[in-house]
Amino acid sequence: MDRERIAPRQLLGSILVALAIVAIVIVVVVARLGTGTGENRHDDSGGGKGKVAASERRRRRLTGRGGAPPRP
Amino acid sequence: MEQLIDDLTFGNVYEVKTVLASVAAALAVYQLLLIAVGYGKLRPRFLASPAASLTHRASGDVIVVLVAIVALTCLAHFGFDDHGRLHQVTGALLIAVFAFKIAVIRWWHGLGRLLPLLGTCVFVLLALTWLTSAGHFLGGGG
Repeated sequence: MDRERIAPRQLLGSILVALAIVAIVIVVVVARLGTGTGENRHDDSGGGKGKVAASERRRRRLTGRGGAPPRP
Repeated sequence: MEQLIDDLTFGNVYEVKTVLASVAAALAVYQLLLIAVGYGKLRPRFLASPAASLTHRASGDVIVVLVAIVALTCLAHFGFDDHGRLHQVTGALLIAVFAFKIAVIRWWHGLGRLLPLLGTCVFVLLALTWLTSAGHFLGGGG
């Protein structure tokens, strides 16, 4: 890598691009996670059809923890 | 520890991990472009090599922090279960190669010629780790 003088504008620009990438990814991922999750997130029954509910059901299936007790 | 993570994420551990890991993965792609400019492989008119290298270092520090947070959350909250073996292997390798690369950058300057190889390994392992967790989760895999 070269040992030239660093141009402040270029440095600022490249850092701003990094910040823009961070912001865009956060918005896109949060929007993606929010899609189809209309259930009550505090509902402890493990119901619902969204990704959050699906991941919660999977976690409970794997760990055997949380949620309502199994029906007899 | 598990309770602390639950409290900090308001019970949304998967979601917080997904966002942080996705930001790290996106920055890793940007890192590739920056270091290509830094080594002179790409020569855009609007960005010179020194600025690209400095931004690469700063952005890399951010990625280290993000990966450390995600890894700690993973270990403390989920531990090592039978599910997601590939994710566990790639994640452990990622941490090991990451630590070695940081040691080379900070102290073992004699091994500096390995940096491109180590950087490529870190990128591939980060991509694999992301694909087997956050990417799978975002893709609807649960």
